[in-house]
Amino acid sequence: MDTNDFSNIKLVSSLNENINIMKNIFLNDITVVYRELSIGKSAITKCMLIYIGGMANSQIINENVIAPILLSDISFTNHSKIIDVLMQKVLLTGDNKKSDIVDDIINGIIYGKSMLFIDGFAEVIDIDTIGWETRSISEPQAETIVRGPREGFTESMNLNLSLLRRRLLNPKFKMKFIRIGKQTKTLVCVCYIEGIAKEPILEELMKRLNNIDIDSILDSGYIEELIRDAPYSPFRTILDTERPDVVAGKLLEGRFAVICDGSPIVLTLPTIFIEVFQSNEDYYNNFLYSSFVRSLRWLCFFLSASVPAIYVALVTFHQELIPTPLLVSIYAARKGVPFPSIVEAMGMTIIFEILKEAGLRMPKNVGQAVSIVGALVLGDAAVNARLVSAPIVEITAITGIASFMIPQALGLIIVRFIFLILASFLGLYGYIFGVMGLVLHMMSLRSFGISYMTNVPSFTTDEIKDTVIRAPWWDMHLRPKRFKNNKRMKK
Amino acid sequence: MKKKKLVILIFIIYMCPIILCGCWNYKEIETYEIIAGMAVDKDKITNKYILTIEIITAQLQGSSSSTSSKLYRSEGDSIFNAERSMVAKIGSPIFFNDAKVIIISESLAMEGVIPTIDWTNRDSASRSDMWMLIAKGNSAAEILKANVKPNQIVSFNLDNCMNESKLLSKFPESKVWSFIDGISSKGKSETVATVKNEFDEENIAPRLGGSAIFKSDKLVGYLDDDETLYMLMIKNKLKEGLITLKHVSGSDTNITLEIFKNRTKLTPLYNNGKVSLIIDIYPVVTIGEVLGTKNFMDEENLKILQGEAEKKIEAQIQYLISKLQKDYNSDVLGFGEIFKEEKPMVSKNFQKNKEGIFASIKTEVNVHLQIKGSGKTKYPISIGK
Repeated sequence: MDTNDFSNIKLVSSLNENINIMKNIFLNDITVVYRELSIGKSAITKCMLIYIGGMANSQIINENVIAPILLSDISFTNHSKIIDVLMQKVLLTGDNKKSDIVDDIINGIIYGKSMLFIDGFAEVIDIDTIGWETRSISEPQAETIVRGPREGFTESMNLNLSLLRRRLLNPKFKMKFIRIGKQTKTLVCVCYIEGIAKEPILEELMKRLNNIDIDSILDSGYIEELIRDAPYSPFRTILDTERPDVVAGKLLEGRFAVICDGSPIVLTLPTIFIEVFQSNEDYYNNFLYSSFVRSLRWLCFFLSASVPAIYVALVTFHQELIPTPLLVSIYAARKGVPFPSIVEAMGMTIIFEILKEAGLRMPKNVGQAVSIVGALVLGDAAVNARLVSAPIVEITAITGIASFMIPQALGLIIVRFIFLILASFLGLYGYIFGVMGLVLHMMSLRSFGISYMTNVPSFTTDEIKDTVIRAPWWDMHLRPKRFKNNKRMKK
Repeated sequence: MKKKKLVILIFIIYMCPIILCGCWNYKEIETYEIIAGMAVDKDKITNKYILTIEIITAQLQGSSSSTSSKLYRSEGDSIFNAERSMVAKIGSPIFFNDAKVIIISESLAMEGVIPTIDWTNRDSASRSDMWMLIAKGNSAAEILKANVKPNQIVSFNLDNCMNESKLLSKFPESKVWSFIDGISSKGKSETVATVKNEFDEENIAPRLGGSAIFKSDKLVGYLDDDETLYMLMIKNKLKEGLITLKHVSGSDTNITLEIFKNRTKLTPLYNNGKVSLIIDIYPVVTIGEVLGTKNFMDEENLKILQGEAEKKIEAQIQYLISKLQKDYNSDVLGFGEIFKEEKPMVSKNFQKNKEGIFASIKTEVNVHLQIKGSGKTKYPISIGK
């Protein structure tokens, strides 16, 4: 039995019975406040205000709900219109509406709203008194930038939507709400700009969201995994961000944003590969510098995926390809190291990942230990002990640093390992096989109907403008072709 | 679309060598012994080849390691045999890809070098762009035994010197492949750089200089440093070099001219059964050094200087040609080839009569020297009176 289903419960006109229904639902919940009231000084009609302390703002309830009801001196000539009169003339809160669906009422109470039950009615007044504490707006820790807006999303959807709206003062900025999660009933909002975003993508997105069948949504990561294309691929077909300016930029390019209540991480889709290399700062800085940095990121993508594999291939198969001075220095460094190159490369890559993960999870107070121990494991001490050769330390360091250059986290570690294993079996031949497989895989990926590698193999001036390079704003006239509805100018 | 295809094509062409070259055998780098260079001698009594190789060794000192070299010697009925029996001595396979030089002893070269270089050229492991050197006077192994500096690898040192040959023009650039290429074409002979051990300040060091003249694959004689320079000049292979003039116009002043550009044009002529060759040489020089006080920058003296330099170059070249024609009859200058290319009928005639064309060529040398400047200063260092 679904304990969260109240659709078969109906309100009745007796206040006492309604209260009993509520008390049954919120059995033993001492945070639920039942405040008995009588309307007006003349005190004819009884009513009951139900809310949850801590979720609702008690100041608003006291000043704008309870006080006016108790102190109102309106005489109710027509008892049947009492709800309308209360809503129109008495209550001082902004968002009031009538409701008779038990499901909504329960969810409203849980969400921090107050429900006013009135004797003689099978309806309640739903009063917006939401007032739980939220984190204040701060700069996202994971996406720090030097230049650009510093605001970041918080866990409150209302606040997040207001951050977005402030950037898109446009009535065409549309939102669609949906509740997902049988137990959590998490509110999820899909944002887009009408006229720019493509309708079929919206339909597909809503279809996928509606199809989600899960107990709980605690973070937008759940949604990402549930609706993404190619669920087994290490590449992400949906990106996320904590920055409202990034989301606004993507919306303006015709993309969709999925905001999940309770999570500061907002999903943007459809995603194409080149987005991985784009940082919002690219658009705020000088275009020449941005273009340079972007090409560096592409280089680092290559380095991060391939350097260990190429090193192992060269050292164990193709010594002929190494220039003599380098060969001699690698030769000298490898002398006396007990492990084969592939074991060294694998081991050091894994150790680097361990250090990275340990540094992430470790409490800040003991964080120093990781860096000190890390320097020992991945550094001179290891070379001194002749456990690893110096070149492999260098290779691991380059690979690690390069992987941090890419603004969006990728599943590159998987690619790196596959390349390494292939290179250890077949040398460069195997590595090239890996590259071919990777390209085939990436070419076959789609994100909500959009080819993942859109604009990667293009050479036309229009398509290359926002890829490896970032063209100056005065030269970028067109929105990205695949997502947008029509060919209107960006400016 | 066309552009795209071109880019893809270039990409494929670039990828091919990366995928296709190299060996497919898994082998850790440190299990090899890397060879820097090798020397080949022949034992006259047992008639066996003696192969001496210089192996790079690494010494571990804590975390750092330094490299130096070590020599190994083995004998065999052929070079390949000698190389394989080396493995039994060292205990690990030998990595020939980075061998820089092959040094051949004088006596072996006189017998013919084909047996020596065939394996180098044929084996997939060794590279035919190794430098080929002739050990003049010494045995070839002796050259590798010289210690240039502590911890320095002799073969790499020789390699560096050969790479700088353009600056000196005192020895020819002789790679194994170009030597094989040269002796394969009809009538042409090759020159190979020579090396010999000399006493340096404290130790013995190999010094490159001069060239060995081959006729077919046999060593027949030597040219010294200066003769090599003029030989390169005729072959239009001269890049840079120095010419020293002594007692210019009767004064006590010597002058060093620095050649920094040279072009040589050979024009073959055939008249009444006589072959002749006009050699036009256009060197561009600067005055590199004035060893005296006489000023050569005024027009008159400059003309004298030019005349003397031209005369000297002409005389040297004529001397070189007659030496090659009379003493060795070895066409290292490539005259036969010029005739073959430009006067094929004449060349064929000579071949029919089984005559060497080289020995009967009369030459006329015209030097068109151009003095371009004089370094940083025009004047000689003057003594204040």
